[in-house]
Amino acid sequence: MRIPSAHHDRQRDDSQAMTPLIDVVFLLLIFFVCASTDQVRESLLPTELSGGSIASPETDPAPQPLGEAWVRVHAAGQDGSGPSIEVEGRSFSGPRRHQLLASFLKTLASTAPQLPVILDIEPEVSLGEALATYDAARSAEFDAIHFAVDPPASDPKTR
Amino acid sequence: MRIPIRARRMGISLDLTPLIDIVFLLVIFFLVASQTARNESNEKVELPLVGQATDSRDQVTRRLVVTVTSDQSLHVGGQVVTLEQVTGLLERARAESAAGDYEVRIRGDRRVPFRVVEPLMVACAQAGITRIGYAVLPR
Repeated sequence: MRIPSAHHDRQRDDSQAMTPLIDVVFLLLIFFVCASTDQVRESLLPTELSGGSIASPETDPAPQPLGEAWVRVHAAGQDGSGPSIEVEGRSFSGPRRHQLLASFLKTLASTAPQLPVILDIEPEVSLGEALATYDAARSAEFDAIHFAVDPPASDPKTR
Repeated sequence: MRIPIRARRMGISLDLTPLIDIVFLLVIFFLVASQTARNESNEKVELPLVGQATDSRDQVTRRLVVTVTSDQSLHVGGQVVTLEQVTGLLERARAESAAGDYEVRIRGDRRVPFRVVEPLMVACAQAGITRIGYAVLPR
């Protein structure tokens, strides 16, 4: 008669104890593989606002030594033309408008990086277009980029 | 012949396997829950595409995520809110946190008109919150 030894029993107990752990590890592996396939990593486009009073009086503009660069973003026209960007008398449109704008602003920033850039975005311009324009202005590495906003209803003479 | 006899232990033996199972399940749950809370990605939006995006995991301790969906409605914490409610949240948050220690993250659909997002920026500036971030996707 062969009598099972205690050594064999201990081996069997150890292997049985590992089985649920391996199950859970495989479950974790499958879960993270499945979860990561549908996960889109979001990035951030930071903006630093000036706090407190947001409006400055339009009737008394503070003189700037170098002036200001106004970047005006126009919404798509009803005639089918796409959005356009106007800055310093030049207009950019078409699918490569953001690259052309970035190139132009980089040239401008290379001579006067302290020039304040003000983005004047029409209300009907899409957020994607507005942020692409802001992104192009950021890539030029100006010292300051501002957003022009419509004045609050209670203070119609400010902008 | 001497038959080996396993010594029987007296007292309670503790099986750790179910405990490890539960701990692993808890770890999974908190990982998934914290990821969902961080992204506030319950509302599906098509984020704008930009070239100069930065990593969204910064060290801001407090943050309000406002989602602007394609139907131009505002969402905070999975609830549809009005601009006045967002303004109230911003003022309360500003009063409770130190300057520069609070961020507003705008998750806006790229097709939304800028006139929907502009009042949010104005409300942030009026509340004294200067850190704003737009959730974007790298181009």
